[in-house]
Amino acid sequence: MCESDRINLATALLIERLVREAYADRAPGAITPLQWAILRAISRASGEGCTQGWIARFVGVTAAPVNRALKALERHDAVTLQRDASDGRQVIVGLTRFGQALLKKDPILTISKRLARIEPDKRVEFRHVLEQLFGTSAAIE
Amino acid sequence: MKKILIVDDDSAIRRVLAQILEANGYFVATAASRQDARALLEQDKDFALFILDFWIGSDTGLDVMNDLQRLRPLTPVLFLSGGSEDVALETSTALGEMRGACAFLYKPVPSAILLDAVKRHI
Repeated sequence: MCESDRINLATALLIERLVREAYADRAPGAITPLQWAILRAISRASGEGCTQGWIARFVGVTAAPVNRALKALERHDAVTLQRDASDGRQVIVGLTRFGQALLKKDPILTISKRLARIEPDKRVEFRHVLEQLFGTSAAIE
Repeated sequence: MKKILIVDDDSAIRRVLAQILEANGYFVATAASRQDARALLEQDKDFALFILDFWIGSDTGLDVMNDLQRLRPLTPVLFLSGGSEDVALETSTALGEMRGACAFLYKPVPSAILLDAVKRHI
């Protein structure tokens, strides 16, 4: 492995650690990263609740893990699952008050706070790099 | 009358959004592509809001946002997306908001939610 490959690998590892450290609570039954992503998705949905299919599309995973995660979140009393009155095949998912309160403790807020401590021009550069990592062609002005 | 530019490659979406907004007192111009949007804005810069589809043909809404904000840097951008097969809505939402979009809504967007977002940012 050449030196630049080693440096890139170390950088990638630090990005992964940054995120893993944010999800510090790994006790059995704790809310998993996918469950947090689902809570965020529901909070962003337009109107009253959303379907499991929409959540799967938002988060970018298949229906089965979303279904399992929603059942776990329902046991946490964080979401409500109700059959759609107009289409019995659909389940409408909503956030409970406890689910809304949980989002105030969203682990990724710790990363957001760490970013806020970086100088503004460095943050702009970092956003530019992130866009490139995600493969978008336009540059931040 | 406040002017809004809608950029979406789906003619049915352009038509429906324009109808909702015009019925609520906005003047609406529409473009089907990045090139059309740029040409339109070069003729008339007086837009109070840009509503951009996040996936416009081979371009992303970020490319279009880049072009439009070069000519009108302070005009807010509201993104709309129905998603794509390759990129999760969560990713496009974060990319749009990281760039400074004022809102990110999802298709099909209820008219009340669209109008509320437009009123808040115009």
